[in-house]
Amino acid sequence: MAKFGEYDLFPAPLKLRYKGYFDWGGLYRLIWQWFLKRQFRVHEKRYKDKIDTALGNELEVDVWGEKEITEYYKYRADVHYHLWESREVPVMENGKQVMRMQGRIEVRIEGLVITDWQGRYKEDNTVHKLMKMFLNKVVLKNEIEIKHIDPFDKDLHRLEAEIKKFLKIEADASGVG
Amino acid sequence: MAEKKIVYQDKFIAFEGLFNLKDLFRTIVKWFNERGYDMFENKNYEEVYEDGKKIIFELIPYKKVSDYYKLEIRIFVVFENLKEVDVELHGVKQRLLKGSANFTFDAILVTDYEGRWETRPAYYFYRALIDKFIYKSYTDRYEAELVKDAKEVQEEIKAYLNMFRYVV
Repeated sequence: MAKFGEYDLFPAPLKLRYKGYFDWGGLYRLIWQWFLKRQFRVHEKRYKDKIDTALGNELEVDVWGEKEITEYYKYRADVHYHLWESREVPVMENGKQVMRMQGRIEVRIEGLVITDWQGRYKEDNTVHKLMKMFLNKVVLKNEIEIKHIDPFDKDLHRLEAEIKKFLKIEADASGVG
Repeated sequence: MAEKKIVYQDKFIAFEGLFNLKDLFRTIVKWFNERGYDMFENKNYEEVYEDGKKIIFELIPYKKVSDYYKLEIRIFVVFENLKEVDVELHGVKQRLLKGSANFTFDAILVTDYEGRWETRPAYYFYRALIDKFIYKSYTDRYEAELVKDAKEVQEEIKAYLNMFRYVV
């Protein structure tokens, strides 16, 4: 949930679910590289691996990246993976045997545009709060929406499209817009 | 919390046969992009079984026509028993999917999506009066636009699916 001065890009996280065979290591590297190429500082908040449960392994991984754009704006993107009933199995691909993860995966993507990330306007000062509200809702409203929210939204949708392409998901609109 | 009015509800398309899902999805997204809608994909689930694939996706493209009105169209699609089929169309080999598809369409008019007129009871009261007596023509206009867009996208999808019915 976005706090005051933070703008959620999406009303709900972008969700992808896939059941079948996929390259888990490749997917993890794809998203990590996506962050690094765009000069985000990447952090892995959680890597939880419940091994050898009755149906397979259960993994939960939370990765987030942040980037300061100007002295007033900062972007943050969160990617959450959850794998169920997963196990590594050998699969024939292009005539070669490779190890792939079989199971269910859910990927959730969230984005946030943060204003006043340096905390110049103090939360406990009413005048500062009013000034920040006026700045965000009146003076900088168009700039926040057009220069920051829209492009970052499109960027995260492109990330979603890359993930779909990687998992070979059929409902994939890459190449449009 | 914004006020939502459902202006077009539970319209269905059911189809069984051959189609190109990637192309269909791109057609839908392109249609909305051309009309100034922003795309929001609420769900995109794909499950691969031995006897076929099951795909569920929910698109909620939206358009903020002003700082007060927002148009939303919800398309919920379920594809079942999808199998890959290689077909030759006009001398070109294509990989299509064969299975069943069920589309559900809804259209929702959202007012005061920024939540400016609900922070106090008095503001909510003024908004209700203005919506009812002063802004009624705008509301009716946007409702009509939304229903028109929802019907058009439905026809577009039907036309796309029928294309494969008569060619293959």
